[in-house]
Amino acid sequence: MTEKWLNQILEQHHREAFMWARQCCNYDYDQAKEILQLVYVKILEGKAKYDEKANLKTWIFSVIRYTAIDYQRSQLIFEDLGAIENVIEDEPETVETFDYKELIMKLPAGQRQVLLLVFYHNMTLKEAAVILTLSIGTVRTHYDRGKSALKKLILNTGIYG
Amino acid sequence: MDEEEIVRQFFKEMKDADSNLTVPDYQSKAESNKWFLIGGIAAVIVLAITFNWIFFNDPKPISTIEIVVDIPNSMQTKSLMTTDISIEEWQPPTQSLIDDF
Repeated sequence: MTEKWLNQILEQHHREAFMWARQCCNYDYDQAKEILQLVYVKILEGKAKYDEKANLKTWIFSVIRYTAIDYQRSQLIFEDLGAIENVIEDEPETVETFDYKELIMKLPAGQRQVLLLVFYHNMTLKEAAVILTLSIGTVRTHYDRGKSALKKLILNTGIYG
Repeated sequence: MDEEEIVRQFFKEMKDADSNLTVPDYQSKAESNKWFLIGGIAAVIVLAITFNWIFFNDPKPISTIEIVVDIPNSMQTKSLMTTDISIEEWQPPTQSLIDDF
């Protein structure tokens, strides 16, 4: 695995990687930029090694997620996932104005990430399980609950009639 | 619309909205670090060679050998100063001198 080849792969997946980095850090553009640079350095310096168990895109997304978590921990802005989970599981809030980001951020982190990986990044549930280091069963639960919760949120906006 | 369709439509529109987002150019930081490293090593080598050349480039002392040719039964002594040649390379000016010796 040469550095030139790695550069080509990273450049090829750059746009999608940036989008995922942005989604992993609550749509903060500058933070996503910084995280992606950290990811590239990590990969090119061999600190993150590709073990060929998953496909390359899955691996890159996995490194991005870990780096984003580490970065947010270091910045002391790591969100309290439990608190968000409780709010959403009760009843989706009514959305006054339609905003994709705002809407998706209302979902619990697990459900949000699974739905983003599957519907936005066209990944399978198995690939999502690898990236999120969850069992396929848990991912399937997040997927089903997430779809149901998102549907309620969308219908509350009334954008589809 | 069923649940799956609504969600798919939502993400399709979300993607369309994101397509207008400017993504920062791909920059390989490690690549630039690599060139800094190579440049640094090259600079150190050049400095080491220059330093060595300036401070340790003393000319080798020219060996000066004095050869004394002693001719028996004679009061004559001939002293030859040789420079830049070793004793093995030195050629007698005349063969007779060697024969006598």
